[in-house]
Amino acid sequence: MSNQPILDSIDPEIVETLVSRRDAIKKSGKVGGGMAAALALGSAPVAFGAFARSAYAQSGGPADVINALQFALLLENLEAELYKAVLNTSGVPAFNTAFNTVRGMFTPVEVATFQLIRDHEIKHVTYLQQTITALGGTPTMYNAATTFDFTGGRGSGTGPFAPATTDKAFLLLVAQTVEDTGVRAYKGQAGNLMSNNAVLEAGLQIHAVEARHAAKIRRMRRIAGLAGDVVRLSGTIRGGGAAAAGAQGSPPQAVVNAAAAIYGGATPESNTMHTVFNGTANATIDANALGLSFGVEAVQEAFDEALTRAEVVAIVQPFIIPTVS
Amino acid sequence: MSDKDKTVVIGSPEQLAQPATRRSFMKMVGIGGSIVLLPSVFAACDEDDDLVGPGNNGGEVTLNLSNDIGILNYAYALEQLEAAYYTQVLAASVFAGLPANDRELLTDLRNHEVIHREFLKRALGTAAIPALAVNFGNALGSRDSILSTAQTFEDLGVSAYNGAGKYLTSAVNLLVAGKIVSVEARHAAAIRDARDTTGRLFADLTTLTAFGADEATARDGAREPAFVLGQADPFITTTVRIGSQPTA
Repeated sequence: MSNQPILDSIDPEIVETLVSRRDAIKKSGKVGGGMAAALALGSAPVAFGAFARSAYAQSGGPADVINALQFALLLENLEAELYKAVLNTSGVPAFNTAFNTVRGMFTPVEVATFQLIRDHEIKHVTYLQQTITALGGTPTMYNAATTFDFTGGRGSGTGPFAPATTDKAFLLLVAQTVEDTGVRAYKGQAGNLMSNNAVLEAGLQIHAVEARHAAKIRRMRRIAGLAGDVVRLSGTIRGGGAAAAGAQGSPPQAVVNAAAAIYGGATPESNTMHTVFNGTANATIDANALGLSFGVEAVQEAFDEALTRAEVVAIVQPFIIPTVS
Repeated sequence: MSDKDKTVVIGSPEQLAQPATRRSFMKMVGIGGSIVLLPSVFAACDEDDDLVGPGNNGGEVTLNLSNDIGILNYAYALEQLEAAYYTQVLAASVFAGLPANDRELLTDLRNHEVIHREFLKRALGTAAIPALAVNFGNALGSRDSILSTAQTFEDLGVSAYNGAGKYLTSAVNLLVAGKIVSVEARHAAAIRDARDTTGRLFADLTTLTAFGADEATARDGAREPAFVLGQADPFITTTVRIGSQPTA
């Protein structure tokens, strides 16, 4: 088969998961003779080869899937490279050196937490690369040294987030905002994955892991001494806009502005209006008008909100040297 | 065994007292079969011994999962379970003696789950399934059992939403499910972290494989409704059956 070299680089289990025979038949609608023969053989990788050519390469839905996954891949690279640098395991020596001071402030248990989070992000990168390849796309590869600037300076190395390299509390704030941005970004892309059930489910699974990370970091900050009026032990987000970050002291204005975007947007984290399709029409319900008496803060916490792709791009662009589109 | 063999139909309160009915009843309980209490049974009950309520059989509910309403009702069933659990936790005798951090955490979770339940109930309107009867047995007796049961519910909830997302046909509904599931994941991480000293339990995916998590690719749980309802079954005294199957 002409695309055998592509298949060689894909974990067969992933191909099998992504392109179950049932999905393949359902989504392609019309199965050609070669495809049907491959399906009859019962070999997922072989069936996939035919599938990539006959179905995914053509219609609009699959392109949206690959596009959303490429976007996720960029964000996961940013996360993975940040935590690698924090833990002195970056392939870029200057990144490792930059975090020397703050690294020395971690307890062994905190190191274990960051290692787990780092490893998850690295696995997400690999999984997204394999998934994009399995769907017939070409995953974008990033050179960390020329792509990322964790100070938010787009290559200057002296951006407003530089204190994260020397101040543990500030680093935890950055990690929290990075994870919460990830949760909001995945949520915003879920609709673009609806044409592929296996990819949608995988995306939701990654989305939940990011939410676990975000909750843990909020708890670390709270237990380190932050007040509970914003940063909850339940790891949920109270309120919206810059205040929802729970920043300490007087951070630089650029950091406040970033937090305002991370917890704000067209549908800020403080939103309480949620729309449901009830089978015949969309109905928008105010979750703060359900006759309960827990306070609007609890209602805000109970629902996380999505960010649009454009909103996420605006948030992460300062940390990415090339222009993100 | 046909479906008919798995169901005992009880049409009058007197039948419950008959030895043959009791034998069938216990047999059905033993094999996880269904017990149908016809309305006439309830009509005969006076207010003092109503069969519907915590600790009793709460009748039967059928979830038809072949459309978005059915999937939202499935979510509503799980939110009912979680909300009832934390409501009972806060009322349990040991609650007042828990550390302040635990009380804040469990109160937040109670608030969020009750909000989720009431939100879905409002969204479903007349299509909503009835209230489910629950029984948490000995789970509320100690901090350890309260938190470990909470962890099971939260991890299960995450896997349920993740596994059901693909069955939603409306992008609007998928978004709402997404707004809720990440909060459930935050809860799961928080409860796990409250029980942890290693710094890793909050997202230790090797402990989540039963819920469908995959450590190799760092993906959280995802499970089908039949599995999830099976796990929830010991805590729900109402018989919850799947009618029509979900269609992807």
